[in-house]
Amino acid sequence: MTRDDFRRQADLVREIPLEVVLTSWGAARDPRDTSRWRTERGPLSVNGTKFFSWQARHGGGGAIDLVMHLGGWDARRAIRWLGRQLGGHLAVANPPADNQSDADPASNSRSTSSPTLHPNSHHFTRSSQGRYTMANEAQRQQMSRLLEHAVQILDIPDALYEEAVAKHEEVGNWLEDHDVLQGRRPPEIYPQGSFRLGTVIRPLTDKDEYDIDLVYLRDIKKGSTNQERLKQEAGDHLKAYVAHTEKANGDAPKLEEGRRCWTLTFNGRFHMDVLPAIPDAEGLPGSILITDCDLREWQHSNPIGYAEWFKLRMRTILLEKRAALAASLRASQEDVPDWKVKTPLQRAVQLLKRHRDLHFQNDHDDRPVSIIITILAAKAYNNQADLYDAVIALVRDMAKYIEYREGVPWVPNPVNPKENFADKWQKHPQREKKCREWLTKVEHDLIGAMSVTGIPKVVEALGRSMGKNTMTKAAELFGRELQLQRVSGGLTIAVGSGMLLAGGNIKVKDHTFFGNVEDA
Amino acid sequence: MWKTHKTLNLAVQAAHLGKRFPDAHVDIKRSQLTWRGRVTPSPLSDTYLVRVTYKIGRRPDVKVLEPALESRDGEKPPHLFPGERLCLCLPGEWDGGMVMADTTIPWIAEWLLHYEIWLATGEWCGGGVHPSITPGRKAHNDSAAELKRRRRSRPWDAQHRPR
Repeated sequence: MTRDDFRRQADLVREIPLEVVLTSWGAARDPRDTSRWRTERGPLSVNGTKFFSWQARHGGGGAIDLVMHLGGWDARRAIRWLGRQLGGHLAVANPPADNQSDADPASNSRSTSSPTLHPNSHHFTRSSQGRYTMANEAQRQQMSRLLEHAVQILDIPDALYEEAVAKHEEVGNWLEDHDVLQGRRPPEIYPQGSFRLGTVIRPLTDKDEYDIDLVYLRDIKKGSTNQERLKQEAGDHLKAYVAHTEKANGDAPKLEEGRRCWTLTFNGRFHMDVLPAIPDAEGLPGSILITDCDLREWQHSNPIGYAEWFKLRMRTILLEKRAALAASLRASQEDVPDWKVKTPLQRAVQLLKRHRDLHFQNDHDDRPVSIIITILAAKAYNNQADLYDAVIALVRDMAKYIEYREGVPWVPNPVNPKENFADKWQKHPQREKKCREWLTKVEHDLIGAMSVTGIPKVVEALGRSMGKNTMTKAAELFGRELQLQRVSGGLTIAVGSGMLLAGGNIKVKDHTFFGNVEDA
Repeated sequence: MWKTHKTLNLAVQAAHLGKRFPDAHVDIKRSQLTWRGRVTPSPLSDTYLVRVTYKIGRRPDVKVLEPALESRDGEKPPHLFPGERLCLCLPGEWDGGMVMADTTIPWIAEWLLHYEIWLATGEWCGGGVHPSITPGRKAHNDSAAELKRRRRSRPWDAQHRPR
């Protein structure tokens, strides 16, 4: 390698973000202070391209300095390690003849040759800064595409969604008819929670069921009923509904009473929580009062207000996406309902919930509940258009939105700040700690998936955190999409690199893969 | 321009390849064109060193030199000729009037990406025809004459005769 090559290599790797280097080194981000990292050489603070080691009382700037510090190496070795380890970020590759590896920071093996510039990286010329962003941008986009397919797998299947909507209407009509028959004013029945927000995910195993939450809002005043009566009247209607369906077709749901609601279980596919409620005349629009067996006071809630708040947090991107969808369908924007559009925030929440389900599989009690994840994510969301960018930004910032009120951890209900969704954290402080650690783990897993090369390795890495089957199916969907894209003439490769999906300009002509070694 | 009516000579093919892929190595020796280049089929993919050799009147012969192609659960990747040559198209789908830089090389990138997806999932999502398993109509109709013509010069083609 000539001196010029070496300098060019150094300029390239210097730009690698310090967070990427630290993650790749195996350092852990401090869950309480995201600018601090724990390394084997003591704690380290990162601020943009600068770092400072508290133990060594030594600081520096750029990825090369950082690796020199972490490994106690000279510049040449640091540059070589960066090229090898994080070459993918820069489209930097190793010379094929050299099989020795510095990949393991602990290894002291000395290799004689250094990485060279990727022969194809000339496609990413301009400035060393631009080179990093361009190579990385394409990788992030592809990663987002894979993750979007994963969300498609995690989402409730269309058939089940339609069945759930049909059951919702059936139960809703039953309740309404029977209220009216008894001379009561017609109630309102509407979905709440993840169904309303568009963040439902597939349960971890086929044995588990989807959750659907319905509000059964009676049009009566607080003074003219009490909690027991309201709950009992709902129960009577639902018991009659179960008896009726049993007689009609035999496929009757099971009914159970919960603390606040009645639960209908439909044949092991999903269960529907029916929450009896009355309007809260003193609250904000959408406020309701709900019953609770364990508490004498009416409980406050506002599922519509909460869903509106959630929608507001992604308004910019929602409008953009809706306009784009309307244009592609040649429909007017008003004709495209919100639920047809999925934003990166909704998808990110779905990915986070799945990661949580797997991460806390054997620690169910201490897992962060969905409403806390959703609120923190919505607060941290900044209308990122790209899914990977969105998830990374969320997990870095979500913990910042955990408040403390007189030392008590507080995740306020956005439409009722006095209500604390993290009220259990005071009694179980380990839950807050585990939530913060989990957020760091998500970031670590996603950056880790980005620092390996080759689709099989990427899918394997994501599979460990999102589920192996989910990611395998997602990769398959990705492959099928590519195939469709080529057949329709929309697949291009880049001049120089021969890279697909990188905004290239040579159209891939349609053709037919042929032959098989088995025939030989 | 990716297709002409008459067969392009090797120098023209080499010039197109050189223009499209300036970092790859092209040479012509004893009426044979050899292209050696690195292909990274997608942003998250590995980088493969690929060799293409081509003689007028034959199909480009494509081999992945590095890293070696892997098997999955003991099975070799689909769409390979003996000697691990990539099968990129049906007999007759490519002819010497086509510019390799705009056909063969993009198909290699696509083959490699589908190979990576196959390694990850066990599914080949790129479509295609297996002569013995699914003797597609197109394979029969288009290829019969072509195969006959080529079989004389290339012994391995005989092994792909549709049954």
